[in-house]
Amino acid sequence: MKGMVFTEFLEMVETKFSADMVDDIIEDSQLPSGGAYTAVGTYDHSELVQMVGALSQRSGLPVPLLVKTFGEHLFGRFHALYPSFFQGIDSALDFLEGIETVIHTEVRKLYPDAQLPRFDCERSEQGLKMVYSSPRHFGDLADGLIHGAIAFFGDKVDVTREDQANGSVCFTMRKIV
Amino acid sequence: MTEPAPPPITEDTVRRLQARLDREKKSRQQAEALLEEKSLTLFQMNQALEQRVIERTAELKDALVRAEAANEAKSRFLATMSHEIRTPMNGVIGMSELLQDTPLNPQQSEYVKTILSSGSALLTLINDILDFSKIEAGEMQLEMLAFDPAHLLAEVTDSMQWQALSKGVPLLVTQATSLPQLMQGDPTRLRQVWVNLLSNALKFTSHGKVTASLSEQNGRLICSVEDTGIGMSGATLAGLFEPFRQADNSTTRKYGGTGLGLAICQALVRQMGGTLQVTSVHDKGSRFFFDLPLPALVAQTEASQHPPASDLAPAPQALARDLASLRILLVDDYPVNRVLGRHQLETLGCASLREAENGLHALEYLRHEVFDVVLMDMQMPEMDGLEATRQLRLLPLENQPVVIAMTANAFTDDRDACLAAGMNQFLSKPVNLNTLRAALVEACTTHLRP
Repeated sequence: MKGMVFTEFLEMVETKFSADMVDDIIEDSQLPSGGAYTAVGTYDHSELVQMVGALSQRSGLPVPLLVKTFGEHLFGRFHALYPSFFQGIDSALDFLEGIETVIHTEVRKLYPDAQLPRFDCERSEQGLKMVYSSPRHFGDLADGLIHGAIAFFGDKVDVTREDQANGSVCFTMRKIV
Repeated sequence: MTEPAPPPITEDTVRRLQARLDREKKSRQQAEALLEEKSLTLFQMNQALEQRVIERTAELKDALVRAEAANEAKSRFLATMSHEIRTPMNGVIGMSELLQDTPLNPQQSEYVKTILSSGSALLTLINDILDFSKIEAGEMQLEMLAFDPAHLLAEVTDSMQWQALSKGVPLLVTQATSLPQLMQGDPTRLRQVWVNLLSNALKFTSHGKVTASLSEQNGRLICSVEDTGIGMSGATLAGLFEPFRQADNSTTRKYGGTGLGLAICQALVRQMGGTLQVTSVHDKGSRFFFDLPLPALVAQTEASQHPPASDLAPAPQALARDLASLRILLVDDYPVNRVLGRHQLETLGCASLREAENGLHALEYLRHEVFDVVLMDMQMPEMDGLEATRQLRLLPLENQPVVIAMTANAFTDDRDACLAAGMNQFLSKPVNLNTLRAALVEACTTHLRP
């Protein structure tokens, strides 16, 4: 998993909790990397799972809520770091539809061996159906990103989430008229 | 009020700070290692790219050398083909001309006329191909002669009136009254462009008219040919001046031609300093136009004008007597050409003639007999015409004869080689009666009568 996800996670923990919390969850998690991350590196995604678990333990907040919140935070950071992906896009559905076709295509050019989640999209008059699938099962993260995008663009969209038996997650977004 | 005391630095605080510092340091080192790795990859890719540029450049150079060699081989091939085709054509056209002057019944006369017109059509074709290869090789050279532009156009249109008449399409000329009487340029090549454009216009027009226009403005001769023919579509116009192009296959079938004419016209006009342009509307007609920067000359006496070669007046009586008295040696290895030459000279009234089949035989004659004119082929076995002329010029003769090259080699290089070897004039085969007469007259006037 790209290092940027790890550095952004620890940034969020430091902002929303404290620097000490960062120290604590790193220590609790017994990480192979020792918690030293650089945004341009690549790390085992299980380290993130460990840290989220530790954060849940210490804060008493459920893991899905933490991951979803991180997703929302991550969207804001994407927008700040990669404004070029947002040029000419003025709705959350347009942006989300382009993740697979536009953004992931560009990411693969820069990092040919990146393992990216898949977002299968189906656009219609009424909205967008988006199926998230990844061996890492971060459906909550996708959930947070989607909500972050909708909040950012200020669209009136209703989201329903269905977790599938095979581990993928189907998000159905409907425009509210 | 006293400042609040800073929080006490506990052992735990130090431990935490130490751990953070370690993490920061470690992540910096990771980032540096990654950067180093990426830089190395980038450097290696750059090296590989440079190597590829070097390889590709070498490949291109190699390809260019091969292409140039192929092009040169093509030019040589064309020159050879041109020579090989001209040699028998000389026999066909020359003999047909002679045949025309014998008593024939109307049917036979018609047959001969057809042979002659087919022969000259074939010759035009060969000349086109030759011109085109010259242009491509950058060997087309222009002459700078004084000529009368209106007279030139009148000549061209006169010679095409029969073609216009037979199609029922009037061929009109409009020319400005203010045209200079004399301009300096290459009348032969300008004539070639006019002929080409006008015959195209007539070819593609079945009703309406064809108009040739001529005017002058600010030192430029403005020429145009307009027709009311089939016209062209945009797609056809786009590739019009490319060689071997014709409107489409069906046009080729219906109208014939090599597709070289316009490519040659364009190249000639360009070399003369203009641009050949065209506007056309499908089914309405086309207009070709160009302007040439030709300096106008102040008209001088008639005699100093340089008339076009084919326009020589028939020899006056005095000259005809001179032709009859000329002692001529005809040198050619091809028997048909000797027979033809003999008959042509007889027709011109030349009575004294010897024939040799190569340079050696010719020199044999020249050592022992007196000649006024030698008609010399270039390529012959035993000894060629160039060597024979060089040796002739070394002979201790009281009067050196005029040597006229008569050859199927038609390139400028060949002309230069002939003159360098000591020849006086150059005729390229096929040689027709008028041309031969003109050459002999010139020999009489310029060389034999100082």
